[in-house]
Amino acid sequence: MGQKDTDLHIAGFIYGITGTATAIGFITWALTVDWQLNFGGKPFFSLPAWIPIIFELTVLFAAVGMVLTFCWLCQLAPFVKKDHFSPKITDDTFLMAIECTDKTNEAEAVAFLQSAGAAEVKVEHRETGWWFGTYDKDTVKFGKPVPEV
Amino acid sequence: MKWSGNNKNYDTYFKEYWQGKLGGESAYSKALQNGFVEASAGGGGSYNGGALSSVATAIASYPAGGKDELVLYQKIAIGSGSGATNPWLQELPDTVTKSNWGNCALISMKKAEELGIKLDVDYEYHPDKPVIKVQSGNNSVELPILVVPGMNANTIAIAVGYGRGDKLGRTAAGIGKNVFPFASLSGNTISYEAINVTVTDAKRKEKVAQTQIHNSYEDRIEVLRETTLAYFKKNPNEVKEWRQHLVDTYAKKTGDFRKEGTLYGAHDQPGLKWGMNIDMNVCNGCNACVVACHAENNVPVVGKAEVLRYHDMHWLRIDRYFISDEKNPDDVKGVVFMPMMCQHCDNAPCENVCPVAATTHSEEGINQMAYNRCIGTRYCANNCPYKVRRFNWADYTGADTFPNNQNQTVVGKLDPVVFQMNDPVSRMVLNPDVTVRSRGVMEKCSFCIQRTQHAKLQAKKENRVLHDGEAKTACQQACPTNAIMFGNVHDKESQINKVRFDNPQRLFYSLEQLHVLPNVSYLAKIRNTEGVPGGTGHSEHGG
Amino acid sequence: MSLNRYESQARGPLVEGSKDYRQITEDICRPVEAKPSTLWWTGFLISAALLIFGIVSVTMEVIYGVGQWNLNKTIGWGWDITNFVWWVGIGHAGTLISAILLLFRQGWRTGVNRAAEAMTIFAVMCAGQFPIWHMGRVWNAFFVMPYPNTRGPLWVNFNSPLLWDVFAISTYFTVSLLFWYAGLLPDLATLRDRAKVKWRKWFYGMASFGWTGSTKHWQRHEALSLVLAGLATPLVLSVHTIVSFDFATSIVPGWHTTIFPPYFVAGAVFSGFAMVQTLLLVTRKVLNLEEYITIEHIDVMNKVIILTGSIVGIAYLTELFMAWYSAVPYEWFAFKENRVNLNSPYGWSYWIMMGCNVLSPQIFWIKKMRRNILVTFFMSILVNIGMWFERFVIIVTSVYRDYLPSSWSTYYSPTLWEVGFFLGTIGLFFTCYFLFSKYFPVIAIAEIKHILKRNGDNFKEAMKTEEEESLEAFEHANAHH
Repeated sequence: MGQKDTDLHIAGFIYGITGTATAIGFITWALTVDWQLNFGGKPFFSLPAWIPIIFELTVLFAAVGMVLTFCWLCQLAPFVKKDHFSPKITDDTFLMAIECTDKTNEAEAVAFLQSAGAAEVKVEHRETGWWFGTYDKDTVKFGKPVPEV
Repeated sequence: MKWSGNNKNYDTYFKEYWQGKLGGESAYSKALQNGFVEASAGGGGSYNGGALSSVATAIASYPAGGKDELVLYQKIAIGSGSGATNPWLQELPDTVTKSNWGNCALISMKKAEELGIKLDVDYEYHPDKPVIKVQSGNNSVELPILVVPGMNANTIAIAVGYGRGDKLGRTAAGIGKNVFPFASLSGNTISYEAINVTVTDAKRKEKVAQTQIHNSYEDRIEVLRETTLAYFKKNPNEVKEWRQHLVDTYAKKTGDFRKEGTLYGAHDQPGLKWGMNIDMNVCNGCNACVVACHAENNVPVVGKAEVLRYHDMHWLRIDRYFISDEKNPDDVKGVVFMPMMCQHCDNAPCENVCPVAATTHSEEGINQMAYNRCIGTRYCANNCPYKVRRFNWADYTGADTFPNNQNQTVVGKLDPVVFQMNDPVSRMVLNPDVTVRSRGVMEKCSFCIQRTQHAKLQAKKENRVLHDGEAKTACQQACPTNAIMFGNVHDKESQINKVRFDNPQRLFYSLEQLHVLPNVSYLAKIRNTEGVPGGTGHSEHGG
Repeated sequence: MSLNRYESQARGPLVEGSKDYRQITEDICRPVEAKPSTLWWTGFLISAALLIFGIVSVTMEVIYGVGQWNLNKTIGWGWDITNFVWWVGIGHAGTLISAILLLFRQGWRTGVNRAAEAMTIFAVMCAGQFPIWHMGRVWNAFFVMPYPNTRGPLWVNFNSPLLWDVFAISTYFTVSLLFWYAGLLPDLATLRDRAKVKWRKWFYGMASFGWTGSTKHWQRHEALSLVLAGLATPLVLSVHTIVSFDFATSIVPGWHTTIFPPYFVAGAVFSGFAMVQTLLLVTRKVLNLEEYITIEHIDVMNKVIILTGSIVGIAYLTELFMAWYSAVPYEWFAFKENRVNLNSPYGWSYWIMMGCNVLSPQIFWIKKMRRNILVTFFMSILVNIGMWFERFVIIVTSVYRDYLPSSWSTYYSPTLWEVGFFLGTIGLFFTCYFLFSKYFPVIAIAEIKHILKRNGDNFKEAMKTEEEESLEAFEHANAHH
């Protein structure tokens, strides 16, 4: 669709490396600098024994970081309420939203879309972005209730 | 000695007494060397034929017994019953049977066969043992059996001193059965036997508490070394060669098994390094060390119910193995005692696995336990090849801050003896220098760290180096045969070093091939018999 | 016969009955929106009762100490860690289905992945209970966390396999939960938009995070799923590897075995798939989802079971061989005398393991058996019994007779509270699963729509005519003259 490919995986990689570095750095510091302890005759810096934790922290950082980034990019969070054009888009309908400005000839656009075979064309006035709210309450916008769609 | 109004020390007193009796220092020394005094010295050797014939008559007139004979004996710990009220002594496993908290009927393997008792896996692995009824005249007793290899086929042995009344307190009451009625007075002496008893199967089972259930060391020569004198004379260097073999295999380059036998290398251990040596040759399994350890280190007494669940807490135990013929386990060639406590391995497997760093290694070579850091995963105990770590399964000492946590009802009901520790007077038995461990904590031998610390501080206060032998562990102090030697192995002149150096042919470390580097060494047991074990040449097999 | 193949001959349709998108939404959302059936209530109440029994059992153990279990001075771990490993293993199938099969682009995963992932999460929840409550002083469990403290600060032992477990299990749980929830978002939005009741609007609205289904959302969502799958794949392999390190890095004969990591992972997938089968066979029946979780799915999963079962079997034989070949007498004793010897105290458990895990799955070589629901259900239970015994055999039969014959221990059998704890986790697992099946779509609606085009009945029908027409006719029709 000509959308730019998302860079989410690059972010994931960076988070992962952060995790690796954190694990190596912290364990090394804790066991060789901060408080040396002799465990079963192993050297203080016994890297092979730390590999499991280093790996786990890498994965943990990458996964948690990516999901948070995803939520932030898509502006998703619990109790976030967003603008929905039609409840059917989560069921079996594809929806194309076209942003109209003052200069748009709405009637012409509607006519064009209908001629192209659209099942339904609606013109709505909505705010963009998101706000906290719950879906069981009617949204109050522009000072007056907006009817359920 | 002071009480007897004598100001000499006992040694002098003893010497003077015997020198007076034997006439002179040299005779005294000779007597000491011989270990006995020839009483007939100078009596003249006239043959007393009359006396002999009277002895012969006495033997002949000895009442002929029936088929089975009952022998009453005293256990080391309980004695005639004088030790019965002491929980430590009740908890102390018997030297040979390894059973505690009660007496049982010891029978031979042949007798077991006769009674139709199968000595199979079920017999060994379940504490429920068949009960037999022993009857002599009007006296009878029903006791669970324990089969002891090597016993006379028709002898039944039962320990006295049990079956005490409630008045004796919580410890002794109701433990075992009283068999004194079987003893009889013959002339002026008490005869501790009943020569004609009938033995019948009581057709039920009772639980016998034992701290060790397997009797053979299964030819595991890495665990312990023992052989006969005759064999040792022929192959005096076998143990040494076996140790050398480890060096040759794993430390080809440097010949240093400690450093080369690992990927990691070794930690520096400057200063003191504690070590212990145990001479299995002189250990006679008397258990004094076990009690000493119990008393010194506030080791909890857990009672019969918990020993039955294998929850005994001894930090130091004496492993007893029967050496017997492979084909005929009843043919016991010898018994080996191996005192076993934390080996304070320098490469301790237990330390590696503790998630919270509750057990670590000190620079003095001691494997330390930080009780208040322990969260009780028991991983260390699993990973201990010597199985010397002990877990506080319940609140045995009343040390817990949780109220009412000893009142188990459904599972693991505790014996009354455990509750004794809730009583402030009983608690005075605790050693104030040693922490009392709470429920859910792992514990084990610490090489009496309170004593080593004390000795070090004393030396420091007096601004001098620590003398050899100044720090003594409780077990070492209690050992009547000086089997246990303890000291600083970095001190070239120390006794521990000497004893190790002087006995290269008997020196070994248990499970040395694991490269856990124990700090406890052992000297092999050489049995003073002429038999030469066949087969592998290591030992006679056990059953 | 035509050369054209528009769909695999080896595989039947993965969605049966001619469905359209609307119908799919309807079918899968119906159980969520309808009132729960009597069957659901029965199952839920039994599970909840078990859970309560489990809570009582654990409470007793915490009040009176680990002595409430029959572990002893030689056997430090028994049912507790057996159950831990068993549950972790079960969890693995879910991640395998959702992550590894996503990477391999296996279409059949979509029918079962949601339930399997949920199973993973609940199984890991159950697994986590054991290492926590098996501690002697559970109130100090936070000591395993490397947090700054006033004791030095004293850190934890990063060399301990048990600490690796802490990190592995918590990471596994977190990542599985994120992966599962990310996948749920679109479906929760569907439920939100279908919601008629106020609390549903509130709940699914809150839970769906304001998902709109915009292209940008979907694009990032796909990228996220793919990378999470890429992360979860090595993670799932690492988790059971690390669990196996608990044993493999120790020195106990029978534990100290280098084959453990791959053998544990294979075993985990094996038992996990068996559990997925158990759950899905019940789910499809109770929730009327036979058209989405088809015989085809069951067949495929049975193939995985026979594959992993055979890997496990080979692993058993390999370790047996190595124990003998290594010429370490202790190792060989642990295998020969503690396990293989039927007359030894625990010999029976080894042979139950062998029978259930190695022999019985071989029945799935027969196609008819793979596609038989009753046989599959029975086998899935059998495999999980076998896998439970595998862990029991490894843990208990190794440690109860190790180096020193003096410490060979009396017979270990669990107490009421040990059994209760285990039953309690089964209760927890099924309580969670029943709640999940009631309040969440058990099949990934959005994803099943994804495969409908290629794997649905419709597609098969549509392609049939093309596939059946002769090459000549096809050429004739399509060639440009």
